[in-house]
Amino acid sequence: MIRQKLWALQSRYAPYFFVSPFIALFSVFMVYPLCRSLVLSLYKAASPRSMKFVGLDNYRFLLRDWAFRGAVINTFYFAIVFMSLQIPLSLALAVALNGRRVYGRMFLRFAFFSSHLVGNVFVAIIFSMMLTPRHGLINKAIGAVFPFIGTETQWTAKPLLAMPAIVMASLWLSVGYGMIYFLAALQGVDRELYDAAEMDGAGRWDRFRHVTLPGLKPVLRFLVLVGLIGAFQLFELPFVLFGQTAGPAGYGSTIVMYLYFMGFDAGDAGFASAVGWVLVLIILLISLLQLRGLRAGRDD
Amino acid sequence: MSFHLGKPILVMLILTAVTGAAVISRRDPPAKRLTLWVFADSHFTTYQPALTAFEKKTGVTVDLQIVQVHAMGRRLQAAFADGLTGPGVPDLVEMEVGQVGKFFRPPLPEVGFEPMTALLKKSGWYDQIVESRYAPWTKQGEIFGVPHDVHPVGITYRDDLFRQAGIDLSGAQTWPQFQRRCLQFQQYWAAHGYKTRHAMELYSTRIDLLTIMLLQRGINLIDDHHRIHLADPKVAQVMAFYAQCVAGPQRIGSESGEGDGPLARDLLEGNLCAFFTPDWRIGLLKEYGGDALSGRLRFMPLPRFDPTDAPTATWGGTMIAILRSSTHKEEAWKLIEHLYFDRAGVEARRTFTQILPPVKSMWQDPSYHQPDDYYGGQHVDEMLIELAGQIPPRFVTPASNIAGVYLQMVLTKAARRVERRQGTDGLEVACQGWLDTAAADLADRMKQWEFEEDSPKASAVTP
Amino acid sequence: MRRFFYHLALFSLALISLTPFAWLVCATFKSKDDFFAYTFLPWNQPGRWTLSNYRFLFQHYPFAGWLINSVFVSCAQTVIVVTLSSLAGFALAKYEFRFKKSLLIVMLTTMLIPYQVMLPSMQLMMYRLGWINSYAAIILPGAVSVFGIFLFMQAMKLVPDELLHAGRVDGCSEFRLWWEIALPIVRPMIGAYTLLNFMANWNSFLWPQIILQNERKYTLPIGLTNMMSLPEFQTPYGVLMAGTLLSILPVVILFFIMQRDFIAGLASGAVKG
Repeated sequence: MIRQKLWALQSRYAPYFFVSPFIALFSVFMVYPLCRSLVLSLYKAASPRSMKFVGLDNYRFLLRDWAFRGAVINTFYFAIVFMSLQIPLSLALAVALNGRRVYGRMFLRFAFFSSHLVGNVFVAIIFSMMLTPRHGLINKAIGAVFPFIGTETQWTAKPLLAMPAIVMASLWLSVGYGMIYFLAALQGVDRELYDAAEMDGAGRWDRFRHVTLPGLKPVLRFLVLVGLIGAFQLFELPFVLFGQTAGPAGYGSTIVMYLYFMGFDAGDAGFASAVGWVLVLIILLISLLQLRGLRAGRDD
Repeated sequence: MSFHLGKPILVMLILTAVTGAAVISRRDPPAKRLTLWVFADSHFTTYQPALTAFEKKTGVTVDLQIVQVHAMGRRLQAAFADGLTGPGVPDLVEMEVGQVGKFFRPPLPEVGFEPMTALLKKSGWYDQIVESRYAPWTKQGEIFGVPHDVHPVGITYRDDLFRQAGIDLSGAQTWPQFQRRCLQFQQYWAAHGYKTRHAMELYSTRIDLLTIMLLQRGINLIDDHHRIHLADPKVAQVMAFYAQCVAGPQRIGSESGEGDGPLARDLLEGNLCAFFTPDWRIGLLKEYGGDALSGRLRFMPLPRFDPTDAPTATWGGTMIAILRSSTHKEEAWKLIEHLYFDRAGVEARRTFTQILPPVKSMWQDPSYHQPDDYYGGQHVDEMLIELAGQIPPRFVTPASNIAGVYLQMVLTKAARRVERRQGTDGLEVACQGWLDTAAADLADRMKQWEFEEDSPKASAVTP
Repeated sequence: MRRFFYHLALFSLALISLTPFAWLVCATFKSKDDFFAYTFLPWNQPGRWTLSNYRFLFQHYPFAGWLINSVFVSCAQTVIVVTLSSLAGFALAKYEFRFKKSLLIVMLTTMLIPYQVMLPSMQLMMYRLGWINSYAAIILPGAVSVFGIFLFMQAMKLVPDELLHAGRVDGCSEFRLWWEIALPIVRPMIGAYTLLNFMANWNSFLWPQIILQNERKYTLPIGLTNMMSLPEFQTPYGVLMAGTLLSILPVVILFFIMQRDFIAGLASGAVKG
């Protein structure tokens, strides 16, 4: 009798049991801190104990702060340049590897993907050595291939080279990653469609445009969204590469770095929260724009 | 029953258990009486024998920890903000000059370090220490730390290469003379096929060296009365000179990479043939340069802009402070005396670094009057001592770092202008204009948070 | 001929992509004097190669401790997150219950919010809880993965209802249905998700950097970045590289073991998501 009751109980309440640990953690470590940070962004904080309500002052200051503007510009610059290089490069590699008779495909796939196994922090450490003027691997290679540029490029000291250095490191990190996704999608494209297109006399390019690309759309959408969100959260690479500073003349600073310096160097948790909410806004806007762009793209 | 979350998870579960046991069973080393944080590897190494001696002498045990310099700033910030005490918080810290500014933001009684003026005066050490070295650690007349060093700056150069080019570098009295000789040097070597032989190491965006030149002229961007000197005509003048040294056709400098390792290599290969040399850099140079450079270098004081300028300035600096929250202040003070004032302790320092102590009486020691073979028999320590007395005071305020950021912005603009126009026409006027704007903006910022005890916005962007 | 150049191009690109690894491995065997003097290694003077960097790494730094800490934190977090996500994903895919809709909506809205916005408020919370310097402050918040739950939810929708019914008729508890019927079906996805998660945890830097304040408690990324310092102080180049290599190695090994699972799972997840 009791057993039966227990049995009925467990089957009835099972879903609640299954989600309850998650819900507990979710509310404590996600919902609560989110709400708290929204409130916090209206305060000026010097320590966990001393806080002062300032209304929208933090946001007001943010909007006219040149250091924040610089960080936003750097972040956008990175996101745009990085994405517009990563996606085509990944796609090109995937198409190249997807050819009918490619030898050593396993090896190539591993070779291109392996750099993704290295974490951001470690990439930054490696690159900080490889970018050394005259003695670093990258500069030596540049000097060997392009003697007119020479080996003296000051990647981490020249403001205008700060972000290109970060883009370079990021590309090494993630081109192979994108490639894996594209490869999987390419293998999913129906062979018969190709054959049909070939029979219709479609050229190589036409086949790519009308058969391959549409098949890649879901992956493309996924990679762009994930890539953009990641790009706007850029932190570790520049932070470590520039020795925990904002880079040459602040040209290596990003939104999250700015948040970090404000919240944990200067110690104003309120102001840092305000920076965080601006970041939220930016990411939400971009996601919305992308969704809308896709919808428009689907109509034609 | 098999494990349906998959082998990887099973393995990780086991690893969690094993490492978790290791983490939990890991016992903290026995608690020591005092905790001291340092940020420099060389200090960490030198203090160890000194601490053993200290423990033997007084019975007070010391836990010496090395903490990355930026991390130390953040951790102390957190500790002060939270009013923390106990195991995570040290009794004493060695603080770097670039990190200390923000800790002077609160009103005097709330600064997290113990005031030291009275202690220094009572113990009699006050007068023995180079007076100008108190300046960075002082707020409104109260001293919060004991200086570790003097850090006078001169220039080290590849004597053999300059000699081969027929150029007497150390004869240059003024900066413009110095630059001309450097240009001649580069022309000579370019004509002999060395196109990438630069006269010296100069930073094109970091402002350390520009700040040194300014300090030679007695200029702190923000002085001890919180007055802004960014728009001083001398700043524009020095800025214009410096910008055309690092950019454009008159360029005499280039940069090296992370740390002093690449610099030593560049010096050896003759890519960079001179560099600004505070005493702490001599030790690093010998460490990374090895025997290959020995005897080929010479040391000289800094050239000046004006005969009234100092032939030196200071670069970097460390102090030791007792935290207000420490419960063993007397023992902490004893430790400071042992590490900083005790002859044996300071001697130990010399075996690893060539850093000059700030205690004047120690300079009498014969070891400071020996020829230095690395520098071809020059009496480098004597030259450093000679310079040490002439360093203009350097002040640190909560806004000093942000003022540096403004300086960096203007320097970037100036260097770009020189690069674009390949010349210096009207450069000084342009610099003055930018500096005026920057000074006004900085004043605005400082006014905004000057009267509040919490003023985070200013020091937030670390240069 | 064309095919030859095609392969030549591909393989040289692959070589370029692998060069930094080769450089890194070489760098760990170079002495201080050779570090910048030789691009890779002094090949013709094997006598100059040295293991001293590794020795120094373990003697002078608590590197072994960092390694243990990293393994502990990453493994614990991964185990918890995979278990919880698959449980919740199962519930959301196969059951109807109250608040399910609203829960899904709340979860969806948080998906796009970058976690950095919570850093300050979470730090304050950890202060209040007294969790500064504790691994709980890293592991528990990391156990919340809305993304993971959606992933599992999608995958578990493919579990046939008839199988679950049959299980119930056989007297399986709901928990056993999850364990013995649902999990084996989504097994490939678990592999990929596990590896992705482990990698993210292994490399995670920003939050642990805020929480861990004691050198003995550092994880690898924190410990290593703190070995790099300002230009004015000594950077032990070779030692730093040795530490970096040893930090990368575990992930590479894990990847080799799980390569097939991983790529299959990754692809299926992406194409659907």
